[in-house]
Amino acid sequence: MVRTSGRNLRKRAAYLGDGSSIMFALSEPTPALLPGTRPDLRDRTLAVTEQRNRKADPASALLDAAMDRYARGDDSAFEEIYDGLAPRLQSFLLRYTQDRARAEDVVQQTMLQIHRARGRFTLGGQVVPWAFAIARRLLIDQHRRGGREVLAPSGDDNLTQLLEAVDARADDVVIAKEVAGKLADELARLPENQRVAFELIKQDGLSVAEAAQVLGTTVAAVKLRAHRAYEAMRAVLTTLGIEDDKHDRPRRGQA
Amino acid sequence: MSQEPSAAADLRSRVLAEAARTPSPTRAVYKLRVLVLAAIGALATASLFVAMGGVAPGTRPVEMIGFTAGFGLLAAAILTRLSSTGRGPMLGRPRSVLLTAVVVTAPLLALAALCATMAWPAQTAEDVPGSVHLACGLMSVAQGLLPLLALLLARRGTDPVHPAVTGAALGMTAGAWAVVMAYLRCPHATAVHCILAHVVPTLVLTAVGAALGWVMLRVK
Repeated sequence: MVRTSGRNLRKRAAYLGDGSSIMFALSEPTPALLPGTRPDLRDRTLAVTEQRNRKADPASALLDAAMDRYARGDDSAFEEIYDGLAPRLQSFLLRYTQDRARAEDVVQQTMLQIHRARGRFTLGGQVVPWAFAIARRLLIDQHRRGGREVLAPSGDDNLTQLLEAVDARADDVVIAKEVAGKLADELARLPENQRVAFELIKQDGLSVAEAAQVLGTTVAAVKLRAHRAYEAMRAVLTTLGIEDDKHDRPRRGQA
Repeated sequence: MSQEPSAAADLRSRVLAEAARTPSPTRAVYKLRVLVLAAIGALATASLFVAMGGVAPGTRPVEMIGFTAGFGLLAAAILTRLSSTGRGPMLGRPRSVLLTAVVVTAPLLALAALCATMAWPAQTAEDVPGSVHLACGLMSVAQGLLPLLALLLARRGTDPVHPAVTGAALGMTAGAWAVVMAYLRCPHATAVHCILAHVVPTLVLTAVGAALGWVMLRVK
């Protein structure tokens, strides 16, 4: 039985790459996402989360403005767009390809696609979901053509290397590693639509509306998929005896 | 580890150099191209309509023509708005919205045709041979193909999310416009003829739109 303080564990796990970013995402206080919560409360909380994402990401608004300038013919804005988008796209693509060269190849194609289609960018449009949608499509097509690798999110490849860099107590690190691994396994087991919705919102920092655009579906559908993924992730944490300290809920095994 | 920033810088310079080497149309140029395409599509469709005989009311009352063509026009206008991205979201409407529009339109057009024949029962006595159904249906498909091609060309290579569904929606949009023209040019008003020769072609155009959409609209 693994039993530890969720807060301490998350502090350790903040350094642990992909698997830990799931934990980090779950560490946000989202009580309405707990199993058995009323749907209206859940929707309200997700709406607040979305607002928070927007406020926390003014870079998206700047990128939209830069893209608008670029669509109008200001060529110098492309550098700004590249610098804002490429790292996010690369991180998104690396998670699926586990291959830096392949991820860079798709980033290049995506950015050039944006360049070629800049005239289509509508006034007031959002460049981030557009770029993610293009990258996702190119990745899927590349996978279908080449069939080189299974298109599934990677595990935490650099975990051991990263753990060595963390100044942490050995037992906490071992537990954090175990938890991150279990969360990554659970995430990989989820249906693709739930997993992708969860990753776009929590790991790539898109708002619910942006994720809905990327996936070509409605906001309500993305909320539902993400909620189911949250439930699955929380169930894993509960099984491991880790609770969110902020909710003052009793730990497993306690009265 | 030190190779990573260098690789990122290489990629950056490569992409920026490629973008500088291959100029792309700005929004103003793109809008002009779309306008030209729309004008060509509209002109070609109107020419075909005139070549096929233009408006032919036959024995139908003006109110009946107005009702059937007006309903088609309403459907066409709504579908055009839904399937366009002019002021809508950058990546188009959600898949479910487009699919609903595609699935619901043909039955509604058929229902309107039935309502028209019930409202003007004198028109249903006419005996329309099968060859007329076929010829009129083929004309409807031909009239819808031109606006469909114009719509697809204007948006080629731009849909990374659901190109086939968008293509189907554009096909149904073109089909709805073809229905309007069919009600104006075709003097036959029986329910069977309206459904077989005017409404069924919208389904053909939807299928063609889905297939062409997958090929032409997807990001490559």
